[in-house]
Amino acid sequence: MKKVFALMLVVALCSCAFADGGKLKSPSDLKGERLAAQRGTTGQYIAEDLLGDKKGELLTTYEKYVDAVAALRQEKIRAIVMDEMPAKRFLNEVEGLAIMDEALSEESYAIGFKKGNTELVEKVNKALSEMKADGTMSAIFAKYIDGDYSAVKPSDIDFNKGAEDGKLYVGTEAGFAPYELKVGNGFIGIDIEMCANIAKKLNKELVIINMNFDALPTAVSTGKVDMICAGITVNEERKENMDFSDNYVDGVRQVALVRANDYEK
Amino acid sequence: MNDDMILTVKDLHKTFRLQDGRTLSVLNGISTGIHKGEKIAVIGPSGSGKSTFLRCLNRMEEPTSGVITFKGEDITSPKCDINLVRRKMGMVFQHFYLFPHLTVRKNLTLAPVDQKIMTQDEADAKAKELLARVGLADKIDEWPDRLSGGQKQRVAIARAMAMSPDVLLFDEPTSALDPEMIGEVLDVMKELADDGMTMYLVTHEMGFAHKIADRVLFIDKGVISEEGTPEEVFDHPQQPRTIEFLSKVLRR
Amino acid sequence: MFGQMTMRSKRYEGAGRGDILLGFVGAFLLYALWESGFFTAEAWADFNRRFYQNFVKDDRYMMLVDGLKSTIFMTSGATIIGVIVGLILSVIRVAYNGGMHIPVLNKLAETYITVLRGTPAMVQLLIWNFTIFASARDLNTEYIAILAFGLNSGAYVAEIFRGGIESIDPGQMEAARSLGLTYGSSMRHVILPQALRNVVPMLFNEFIALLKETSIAGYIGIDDLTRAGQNIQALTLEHSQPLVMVAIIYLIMVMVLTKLVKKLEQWLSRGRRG
Repeated sequence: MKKVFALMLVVALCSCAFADGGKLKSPSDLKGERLAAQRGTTGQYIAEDLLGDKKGELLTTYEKYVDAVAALRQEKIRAIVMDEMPAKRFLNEVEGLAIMDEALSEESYAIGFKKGNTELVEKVNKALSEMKADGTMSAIFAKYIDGDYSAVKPSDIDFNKGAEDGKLYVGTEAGFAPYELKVGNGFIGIDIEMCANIAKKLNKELVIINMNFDALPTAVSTGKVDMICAGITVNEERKENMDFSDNYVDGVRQVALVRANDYEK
Repeated sequence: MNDDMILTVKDLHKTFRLQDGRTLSVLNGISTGIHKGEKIAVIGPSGSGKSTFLRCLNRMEEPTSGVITFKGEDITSPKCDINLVRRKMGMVFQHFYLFPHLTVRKNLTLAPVDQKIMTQDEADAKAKELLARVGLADKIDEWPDRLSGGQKQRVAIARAMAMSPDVLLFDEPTSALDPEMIGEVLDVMKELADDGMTMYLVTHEMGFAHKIADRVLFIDKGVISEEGTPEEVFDHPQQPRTIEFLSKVLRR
Repeated sequence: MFGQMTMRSKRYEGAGRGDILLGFVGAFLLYALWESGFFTAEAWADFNRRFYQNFVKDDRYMMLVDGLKSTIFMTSGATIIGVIVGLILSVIRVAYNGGMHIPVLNKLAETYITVLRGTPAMVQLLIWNFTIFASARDLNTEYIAILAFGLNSGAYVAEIFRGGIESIDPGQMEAARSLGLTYGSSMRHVILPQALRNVVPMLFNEFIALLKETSIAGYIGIDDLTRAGQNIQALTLEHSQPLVMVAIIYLIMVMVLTKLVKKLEQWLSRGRRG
């Protein structure tokens, strides 16, 4: 009994010592710390680069951001590497969090296609440039980033039902506000509205297929969906396995979400 | 064998293949037969092959070689539809094997109705008649597990009779019964015998065999080693094995 | 035996519906107690606010209701497929040992059971969705899941049935055959009804397991009960409440099913009292 107690004491002391072991100041402090990311995201790749050989031991990947944030609050990890916009949303909704000022990287989002599906890539690129030119894109971003989108209903978005040229299947992971969110029976978000507009331009009906983020590349390469649109960052490795549209948003910052009391500016 | 024999057996052999690859020869050439209305008791030490002999008659066991003819048809031939033959050869087992999930009525009517020999109504009427014959008319809607051993065996006999068989095969029908229940089953069998039923009876009830059998077969080591009327076999046995067996059994 | 049965059933009756309600209320109260810091006014208010956010606002509970529907739909569909496939497989396997030798069929059934039981249901689900039905886009994903879960379950059900059939005294088959019934008729009228009665508890345990197993359907994009909870999480960024609610709903369903199986066992054991 005494032994058990002694052991518990040692563990408690150690964990205290660990917790007090200096606050985080900048992303470079994250080397050698317990980190988390959503599985299959660029956040995971950045964290892996940061941790190097120790990534197997120190990096935990989660299917869902909420799980990662819960782990952060329970002090199982010290930081989550993720996109700035969903991080900001957690900052507003969940107490005791902070985002490091310095970004880990800046990236661009694009729509992913099956390797070689040039025809669709070109059509989508054309649609995207038209939408950028006529202000549709900036209107969508304004609606979700500056405005309050909690009032947006899935029924507000026109999925172009019954369109003549068939259906456009789009894979996404609807847990990534403000880009995609499941609300009730339907979906809202920047990506969803953008895809709805693309579908309209292609004269197709938009069909959203919701799945886990790490399942998206498989889904598009096996033809389960025509394209995937889920705040997907363009990088060289991904380019080897799929084709991308033109970027539809640039300067997406990858940031570290940490506990406020663990962060010193 | 005579032409009026309903069932004949010629040079019947049965060899079992054991798990370890060895073979066990149980029947070593049996030739016999039964006349219509005849009652034959089959006796012998345990392991002598008497049950196997009986079970070969309706091919519950596949004979290894030999020919069995039933009403002029070779039932060991591959062309024979054994299911049609079995309808006419009722079998009564040591452990009754009533269907526990069916009422007594359904136990009796399942086969005739399933084989479209009777409608359910006809089969019901037949079941009532047969149950009355075995003295269990009031048990028609009872579940088998509510019956005593003796009652179960009487139901089993009625079930075998439901197909109006030409011959009944009894495989030690009283061996699993408590002593006080043996009598009621033997009474039913006696009644059947008196009504002219053709019967093969594998049994240890020597007194009963003596009383009802027209002929007794003593089977030992897979062959019929002695055969004759009950008086000949029971009262004046000729073979040393028969004498030894009977002295052991009758002393009990 | 009769007396025992009665006693057991009485004891169970006593613990009936109240048990389930108590389980639900108890589980949620315990959780609420812990979450709300033992009902300090402040924490309790926060608990209530989050409860409103998670389930009441914008009728978000409907997401759980829809998820529940999907879970029940998949489980029922998979159950039906599982029983049919399991029955066929088990009869093939038993017939092989019992006189109707069709080696090719038996080998196929054996291989099926080995493969489906030897690989995780999750992997099978992903293969069905992304490999076999890769191009079947208009097919409702739930049907793919039903197929995957049903075929998977069939392999387990086959072994349950086989055990049940083999537990029946061979004399039952002999008695049936001695009356002139064909092998198939004997199976259908004599062996299977008895085997079914013997395996009902195990069969239900399999379906309860299946009910819980469908929670991986979210992987192929089906908004089942579990996924519905995760969808609420993504909306409210609240971690524990939606998941605890989902857990409690599963728990209730399992408790109801367990109660049903007890009832069914009692009903089946009629006429079997010695």
